[in-house]
Amino acid sequence: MKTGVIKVGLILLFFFLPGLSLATETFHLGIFAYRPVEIIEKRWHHLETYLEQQIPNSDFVLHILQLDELEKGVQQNRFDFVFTNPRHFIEMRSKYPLSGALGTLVRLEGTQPVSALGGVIFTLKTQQSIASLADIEGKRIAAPGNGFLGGYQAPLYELHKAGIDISHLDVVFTGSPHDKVLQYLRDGKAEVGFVRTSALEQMAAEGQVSMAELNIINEQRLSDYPFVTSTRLFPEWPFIALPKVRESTARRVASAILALEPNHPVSQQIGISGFTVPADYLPVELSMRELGLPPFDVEPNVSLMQIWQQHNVLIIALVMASGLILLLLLVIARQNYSLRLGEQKVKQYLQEIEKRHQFLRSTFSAIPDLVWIKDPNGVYLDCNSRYESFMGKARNDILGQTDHDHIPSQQASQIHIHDQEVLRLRLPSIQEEVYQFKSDGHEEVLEIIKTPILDTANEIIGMLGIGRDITSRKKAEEELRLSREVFENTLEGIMITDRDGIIVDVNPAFNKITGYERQDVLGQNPAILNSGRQSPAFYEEMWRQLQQRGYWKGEVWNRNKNGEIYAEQLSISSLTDENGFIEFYVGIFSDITRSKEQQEQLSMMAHYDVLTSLPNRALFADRFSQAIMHSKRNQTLLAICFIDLDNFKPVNDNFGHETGDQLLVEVAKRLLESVRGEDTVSRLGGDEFALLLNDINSEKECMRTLDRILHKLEMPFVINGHSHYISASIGTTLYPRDDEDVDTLLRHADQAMYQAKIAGKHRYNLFDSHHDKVVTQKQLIQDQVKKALYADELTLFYQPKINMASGEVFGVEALLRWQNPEKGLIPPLNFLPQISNTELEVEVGEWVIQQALRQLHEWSTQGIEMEISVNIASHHLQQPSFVSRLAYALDEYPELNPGQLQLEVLESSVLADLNKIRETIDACQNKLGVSVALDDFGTGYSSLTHLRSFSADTVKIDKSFIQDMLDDPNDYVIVDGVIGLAGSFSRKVIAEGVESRQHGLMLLAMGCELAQGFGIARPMPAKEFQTWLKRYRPEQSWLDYAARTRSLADNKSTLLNLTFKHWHARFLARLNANQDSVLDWPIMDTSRCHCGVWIEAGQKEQLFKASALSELSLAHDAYHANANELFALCQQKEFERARQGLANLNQAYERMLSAIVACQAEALNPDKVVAGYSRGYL
Amino acid sequence: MKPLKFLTQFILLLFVIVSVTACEGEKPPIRVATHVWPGYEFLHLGQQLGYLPQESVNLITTGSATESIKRLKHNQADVATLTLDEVLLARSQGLDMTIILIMDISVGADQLITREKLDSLQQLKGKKVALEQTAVGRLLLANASQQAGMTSQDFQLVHATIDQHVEIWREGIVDAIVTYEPATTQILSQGGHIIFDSSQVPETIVDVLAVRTDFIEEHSNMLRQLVSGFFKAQKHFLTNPQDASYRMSDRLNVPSREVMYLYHGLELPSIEHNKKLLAADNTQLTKVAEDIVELGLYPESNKEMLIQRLYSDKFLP
Repeated sequence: MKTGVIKVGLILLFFFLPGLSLATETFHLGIFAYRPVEIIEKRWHHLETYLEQQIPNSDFVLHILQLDELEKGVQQNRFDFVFTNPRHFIEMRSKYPLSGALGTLVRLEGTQPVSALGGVIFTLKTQQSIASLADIEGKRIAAPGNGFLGGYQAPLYELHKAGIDISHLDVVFTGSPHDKVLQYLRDGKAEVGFVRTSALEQMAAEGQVSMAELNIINEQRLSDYPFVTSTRLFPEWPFIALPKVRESTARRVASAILALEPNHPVSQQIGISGFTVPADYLPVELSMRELGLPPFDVEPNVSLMQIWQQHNVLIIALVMASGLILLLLLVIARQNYSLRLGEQKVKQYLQEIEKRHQFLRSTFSAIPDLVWIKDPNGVYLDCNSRYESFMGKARNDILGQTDHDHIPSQQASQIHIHDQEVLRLRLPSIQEEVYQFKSDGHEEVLEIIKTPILDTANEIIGMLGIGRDITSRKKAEEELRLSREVFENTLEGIMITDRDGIIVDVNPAFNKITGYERQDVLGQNPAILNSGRQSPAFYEEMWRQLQQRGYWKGEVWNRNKNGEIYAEQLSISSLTDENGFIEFYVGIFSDITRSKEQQEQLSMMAHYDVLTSLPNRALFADRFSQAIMHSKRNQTLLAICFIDLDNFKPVNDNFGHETGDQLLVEVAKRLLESVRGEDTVSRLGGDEFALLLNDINSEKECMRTLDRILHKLEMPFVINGHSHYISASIGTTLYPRDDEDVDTLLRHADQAMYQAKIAGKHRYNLFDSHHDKVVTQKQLIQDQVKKALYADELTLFYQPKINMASGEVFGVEALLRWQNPEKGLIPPLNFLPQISNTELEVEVGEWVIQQALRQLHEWSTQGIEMEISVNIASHHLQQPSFVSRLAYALDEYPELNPGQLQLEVLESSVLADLNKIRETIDACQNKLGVSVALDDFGTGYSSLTHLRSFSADTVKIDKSFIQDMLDDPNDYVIVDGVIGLAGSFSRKVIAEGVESRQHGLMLLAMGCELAQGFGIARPMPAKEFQTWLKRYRPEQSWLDYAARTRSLADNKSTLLNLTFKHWHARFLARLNANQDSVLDWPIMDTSRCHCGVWIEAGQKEQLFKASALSELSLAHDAYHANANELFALCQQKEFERARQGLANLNQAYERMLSAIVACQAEALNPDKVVAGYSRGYL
Repeated sequence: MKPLKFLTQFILLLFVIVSVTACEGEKPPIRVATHVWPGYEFLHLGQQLGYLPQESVNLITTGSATESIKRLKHNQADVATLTLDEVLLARSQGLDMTIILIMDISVGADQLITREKLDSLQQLKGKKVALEQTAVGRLLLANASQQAGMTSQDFQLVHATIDQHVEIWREGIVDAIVTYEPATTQILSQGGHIIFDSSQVPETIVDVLAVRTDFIEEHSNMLRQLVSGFFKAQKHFLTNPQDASYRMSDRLNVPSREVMYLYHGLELPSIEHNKKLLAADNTQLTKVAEDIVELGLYPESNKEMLIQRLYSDKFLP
């Protein structure tokens, strides 16, 4: 009712409106605003006017709208006509009832009509990375909106056709108009733009952009299409009439718009070419479908009926086929079921059989013995698992086989024979059989019961064997027998007690050691052997250990049957039963009384100095390593001190070794008094001691102790009524500041001590700070020596070697000197030790050899034939290439006789590697022909072995012995011994350090003719040597002496003469010298001086008349009495009185000389001419 | 058992296809010699739209069918767009070719044009008629003559290749001309009258894609792709003529709005139509071929040899 009222009202309203024609009809035209509204409004209102003119009584209203508004209007049926893009058209057509297009727009570009549109894909020129469609993937795209054909769909379709997945594109929609797309690119909001064709050209015309700024992607070559294009083209916009428009109106509007030709004013006003007959919009729809754009983005709904209609034949066929298959399956299932039933029954039977079989097998296997069954021919029918493991074969490998397949045929045959016997007798048998196995040859012993198996008819069908492996029992029996054997025969006493300690058995050795018979001790307690030397605590501890560990070992003092105490090394073990309870104790012991005594002595000798009972070096080292732990724990220092007594040698020389030894004992006592109980005082040998001071907190603390020691030692020592004054030089180093091993530390302390000596004795010196200096100094010197070597500052001096008997100069020793341009001549000892054991030392050594050879060559050209000896360092000699390099050096001078070169090898160096050095020396001598001398002989170990092992041509006696041989009978003995040894081994012998005429004479008397030393010539440069050689005159006294035919007595009396005169000269020199003179007194002891020793020896020999000797002895005593008197005066500082007594001494001296001459004259065997020499004093 | 066998065969087939494809992927592009003719242009359209990528199809533009055949002979091309008679000509010259596609059928595209409007062909007796020295021209003329109760011998024949037709007509040397587009349009615009065209002889004048027979064996897959691309382009042409026009106008040398006009008188056979025509049991094509041979253009040839195994439908999609 209400609606009716309103309608009537409206009609009335129309009637009353004046001037309003009833025929006027309003038409709403919706236009899609693809460009700014005002631009479109300005152009298209001409169409509005035109249509109003063409359609009588019409009023057209333009609605310029965005796509969604436009669509909304259509939805609400507000419009009569719509002018939009084809894409929108297609989309709307699928949703709303729309009639077809009345016409298709024809644009005008310049003079060209265009009725197709496409899309343009573009970037700004600045965007270099996009050149083709493929580059667009992953880039941000700006498009006006998803409802656009040219601005979205066409470019998208092109990408799709190029194989790009459009579902992953990054598209941002700018909204209308297209101008915004360009703005997005310029603002950097996107990299690629989509617009419809002509949009760019229009913007360019309006001055918004220049085409030169843009890159067109995928540009199409379309000959006369006036716009740049990136895509396929589609029909231009349709002009659409909606269904509500009357057909007559639609026709009129259609004809009106189709009448718009290019030259029509309205066309020109709008800026189009006009409209043409409606185009086919199918391509638009097809591409939308292909792209899945709305509304084609949903899967089509296909009804079941449609499927049925299309595929009914196929469906029927499928259904029938399925039915057939189902039927077949049913048939198969039924057959399967019946089969399975039968199978189950069979399975049950089988299981039952298997169960019974299993039971039998288990029983068979459970028998712990070996069980087997053979057929009458010996073929195995069965066996149990025990038998398998015994044979080491699987049952399957045994069955069907005979014994011949498992054990050697001989045994197998024996077994077979026995088997047959059993079967023949039809009786079981028991026996032992040994099986040796083919696999590895090992043997097992079996105890076997064999039983024939009979069937019901009493026929033999097989043989059952049951075997017990008694191999281990047999072994045990054997072992027991062995044990018994050992028990009976061992040298160790064995005693076995029960758990209560009651003796149950002893062996024969027990009887030997203890004296107790077996029956004496059985049932007794071992306490009968107790010596009482061990405390009850000792035994308690022993028992405790036995209980705990079941084992005890130690040394025990026991008492034998005769009551003598003996030491035994005893070990006791407890034997437990299977429950772990102790059953027996076994004590095994040996008598170590003897070895114990020796051990104690050896230990003492090994660790203590025999004279002072102080720890020796070995024990010192031991103590040191213990002290290290202590030091580390307490963070304290250890002081290692090296003590060398000053002025000790004179005491020894003057008062004899006994006095010296007593003095050393006293020194040891005082040292012990000066240190704490935990410190160690050790004697290293001679007058050298070492201290190990524990728990030192500072250097000062150490110094206080050393001060105390120095003070103690400077107090006089009174021995045998004589007061002796000595002092000490001490070197100290502190561990761990000096973090070295004990040997190095001792050496450091030794070095420090040496510095103390140099500094004037009676003081101590700390190594510590010195240490670094030594090292850096060493490196510095090495560098300097190296420089010197290359700068030719090294030079060789040559010291002549002569034959004293002939006067001939037969050779020289080359000695290295350093001619430093600043410091002058540097002696070798100042730099050679610093380069020892270095590569440089080898280099220098090589240089010396080359120089020596060069010198030999030079001299040889001057007609001088000499032997040159060069010193070879141990390290140099040990170079593997030594021999080859020497050979190479010799090759340089082929005309030289290699024998002219002599290598002087230090005696000590041969110790390094005996075999290697021997090989090297042999090679030098035998292959190269150079000669070899053992240098400094006597200072090292002077072992006979060395002399024998090394085929050195020459032995060089060290000069220290030569220099002292006139003073010290000991040195004389050594020189004499070396000369004798060299003679025995047919080596030449040369004495170094011959400083005087007397040295020469003495050596000649002793049989040594070759010599070198200051007494002959000092080392000199090569140039000077020539001059020296020209001027050289042999020592006439030596020539004369050597030329004389001498008897043994002659030689001996020469010795006596020389040594006595020497003694006298020394005594006078000392007496006349200052009281502070460094000169030592000669040996004052009558029996210890040369003469004393000589006389003592002479009296034992028959070379001289007893009367002469007796006079000599008296004269000697008288002389010494005089001398001692003067010596005592000197000791008491009464030098004047002493000198006054010289006249008496001179008288005594003359008497001695007369006595010597007398001796010589009345030699008993003057005809006993010395061929070479004789050893010893006589 | 049977499904299993089928499956095995299927897998085997798949394997073969994959391996064949893999093998052919290595091969150089297929070379197609073609001159400008509306029916052939879908090849170029296909190339523009990416259906026949240059990597696999190399389109060689020639001036005429004669040049195309020459290229085939010199192994400068593998495939050519030719008329049926041109295929027969090549065959008669010892170049064994196989037709694999009917590209278009002339239904009025080949025309006999006279300068004067004539009532009957009889009026043209003894006059100069220009035509290509090809069977199409001869066939059309022969058919036209036949229907008018004449033979080709009744005219003075002037041989001119298609590129000379417009010029000859302008110079007024001939009275009639057997020609085809694009010359027709230009000749008619200078004044001319169609007296006979190919629509009067259905399914006789056909343009084909022919391949050297020796090329087929190892390139069947590529040929299949070629034919398939052709049909895609043809579809685009039919569904989006506006776009196609713009793309084809350049080569056809007419404004885009006139491109569609060039196809008047040409039937563009679909895939189905092709299948029918190229079916082994269809005698239509063989019959036309026999007719052409009857024209006596290839005097020394063995007729049987020219016609047997002339075409194949196995490359159609």
